[in-house]
Parts: sequence; C-alpha cells; structure tokens
Amino acid sequence: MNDSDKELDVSGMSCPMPLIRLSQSVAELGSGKALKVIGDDPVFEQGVRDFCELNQIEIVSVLPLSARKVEIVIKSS
Amino acid sequence: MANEVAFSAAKNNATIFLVSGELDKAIAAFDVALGFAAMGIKVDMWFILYGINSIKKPRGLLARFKHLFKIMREAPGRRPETDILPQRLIPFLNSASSRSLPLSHLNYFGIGPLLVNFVIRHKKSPLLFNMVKEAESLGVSFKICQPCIDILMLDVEEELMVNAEVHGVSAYALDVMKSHYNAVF
Repeated sequence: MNDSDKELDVSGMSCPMPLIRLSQSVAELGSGKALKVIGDDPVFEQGVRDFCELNQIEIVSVLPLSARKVEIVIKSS
Repeated sequence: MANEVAFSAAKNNATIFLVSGELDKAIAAFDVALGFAAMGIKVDMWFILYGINSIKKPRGLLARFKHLFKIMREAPGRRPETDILPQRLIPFLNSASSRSLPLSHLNYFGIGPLLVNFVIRHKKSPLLFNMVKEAESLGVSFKICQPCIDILMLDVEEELMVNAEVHGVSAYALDVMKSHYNAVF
C-alpha cells in the first residue's frame, strides 16, 4: 500500500541517529506530505512520538512489524 | 498561604543530569535533587555513562567475574544481538556501585572515600546509598540513557537499586524544555 510520499529506513541505527535522520527528512518534506519511518531502536517509537509532540506533527499510524521493528507514518502540517 | 506555595511548586520541574561517576559530584547531584523534591518540585534525574554507577547495587568481590560469562538476556533498552565479545570487559572493569564510588580528588586508592564517608556518618549526613533511597521515596524519577545501557551491558531490572526508566535523548529534550532548572554534574 502506497500511503506515504517518502520512506525513511533507519533500521540498525542507534539513538540519536534515527532522530537526526528523521529531522532532516521532515525538513525536506513539503507541507501536508506523509513520511513513512521504519526503525528498530528500542527507543525509536518513543523518539518519534516526542519529536512529533514538540514539533506539532501528526502521527497517522504506528505498526509493529516484528519484535522490535516499528513502522510509523507521520504527516507534516 | 501554605497551600498557595505547595500549589505553585507543583507546577515546577527540575532536571538533573549526572554524567560523572565520582562520589563528590554524585553527592552534589543527589543533594540538589533531594532538596528540590522536598520543596515540592518535580525532579527528573538523568543518568548517563558512569553516572549510572551511583544507583547501582553494591556487588561482591567475585561478582565481577560473573559478567564475563553471563548469558545476556533481553532487558529494557538492551539489544543483546548487537553485542560483541570485548564489550564484556566493560561491566567486568566498571565495578563501582552506590557504596563504592571514587573521589575525584584525594582518592588515594579508595582510602579517601572511606574517610569522607566516615566523616559524613559522624556528622549525621546521609550517605549516597541512603540518599538514593530517600530520593526514590520522595518521588524523584530516575531515567537512564538507552545507548549507555547498551554499551555498558547493564541489566536495568537486576543491577539497579531503584526503579529506572529507559529513554532516549528525545525524552530528555522534552523534560528539559518543560523544566525550570537543569543542572549537569
């Protein structure tokens, strides 16, 4: 299903690298576009949630893929 | 009036960040944390690297050898599948605990902290060990940086004397942004 305009895979990276890559991707993303982020860091999901809370970005869906891998779709305002 | 003070203090937050694994800085950090918590301020204490030693359970002389052969299990914040063999030397060598932290000055191979703790006990001040327990009973929340746990091979549920949460730098950013006081020791 193609529900996002851009995809970012930060699997294997450890805190704070997923956050840095996410921040760069969101900066390049236009307004109203959706971004799919995939990561397997233990604090990855918490990090994305905190980032979205602080920057008022909407979280569309959170989908656990495996034991640690999570796929999160966010939408910039 | 008393209610007013308690009410206004309840809205305040303080964040204390402990990096150093030395007794003097740990005492300073916990002193500040206990004082703030006693004043009714919500205190979040963050621990990274050797700062985590100040909330670790004391361990026996031979317990360090256990870490060389221990089977690593899934614990909060740990990724055992990414561990490498030389990494086991870190928990083996990093044996300090809340009862046995070194001093930054006048350590003299461990005699300095014994002297300081003797004087502290004589003056009826709390030892670091007691301060950690007091902080927990006052509602101070303990938070530990996730990459440090992964590097130091720390089992949060087994090796700590308090209940600690595992977070990333993003949670620290949120804590600091809503707090009125942030100190790094």
